[in-house]
Amino acid sequence: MKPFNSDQEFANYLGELKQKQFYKWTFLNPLEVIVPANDSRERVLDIKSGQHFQAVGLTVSYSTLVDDPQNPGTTIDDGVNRLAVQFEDDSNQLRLSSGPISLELLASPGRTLSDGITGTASNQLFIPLMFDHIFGAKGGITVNVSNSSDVENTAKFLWVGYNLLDQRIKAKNGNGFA
Amino acid sequence: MDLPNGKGQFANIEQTAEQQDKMISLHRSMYERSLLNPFQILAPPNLDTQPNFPNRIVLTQSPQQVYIEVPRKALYFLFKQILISWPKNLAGGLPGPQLEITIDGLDKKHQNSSINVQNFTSPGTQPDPSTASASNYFGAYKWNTLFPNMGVFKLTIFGFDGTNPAHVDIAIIGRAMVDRKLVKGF
Repeated sequence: MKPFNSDQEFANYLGELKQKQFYKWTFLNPLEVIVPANDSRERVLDIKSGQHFQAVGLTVSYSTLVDDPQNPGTTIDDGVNRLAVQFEDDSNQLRLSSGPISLELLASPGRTLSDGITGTASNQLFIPLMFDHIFGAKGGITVNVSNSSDVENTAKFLWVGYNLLDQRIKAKNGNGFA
Repeated sequence: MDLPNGKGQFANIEQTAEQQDKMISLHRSMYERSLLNPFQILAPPNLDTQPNFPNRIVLTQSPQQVYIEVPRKALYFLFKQILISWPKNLAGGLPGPQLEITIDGLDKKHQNSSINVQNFTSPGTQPDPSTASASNYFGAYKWNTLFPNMGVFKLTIFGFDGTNPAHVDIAIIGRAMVDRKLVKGF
């Protein structure tokens, strides 16, 4: 890093650093949705008051369990996704998708395993999804997952992004801003 | 829940009341602007024939057109990324159907020629068609294009080897540019 040419330049640099601290990189609490067979479940992830959340990315993982057609009553993993999800921004009741979205399309797009066809699994790898949206303070993210398998499946969601301060912080000694 | 005194993410920042006010104002305007261009995932309608796979399109041996509706209240749609999944052809581990996709947003094709989806959605190593080795690749392709809202995106999909069941799942990720007056109830 080159030296500063003046006190003013250094002060400007400090000012920029302080501004960057107002954008705190963060992970929201992971959200796990356990969905019974042929059913759907809805979970809500709350956004704190005093801070908006600028989502940047989303990582998802999910199970691909099904009742073994060769041996009914036994659960197997055939690698075929049967989960779909809808997201809603609670702060303004905004649906973020036009309808249910298959989880393998969001979490691991590419080659999938065909339902009902035997063979080796396609070894899907999960990749982060670009998810550029600001969720309002005091709002929440509603996640509705539907499961068309005949056994229970689980999906997990983790948003990463940064918090945007929207409320004054009170100083520790009480001589603060509020 | 209010931010507690001396704790929380921002509490280790030393700043004046004026700096806090400035940043709060900036963050609020960022949020309000975001209401005018919400993130959206668009997918083909949930076809009754494929209730377990809401975004699935079964391919035919002739070109097939699929319509993805753009939110009515959006003036524009910024098409940022297309997600595509296609089946593993289990006969010898072949990579799957050779798909060609064109997208019309303005009644003009935004590709001069159809593109083999395998080429643009899975950069990197490809599986050898002559072997059964599995390969992992991803169908997420950036496609930064701004479309005026013409109601729908029309996708023309072609590619079916005629011998194996073939389908493709598609979703579009982008941002809808909404008229300010229509923000509520979008």
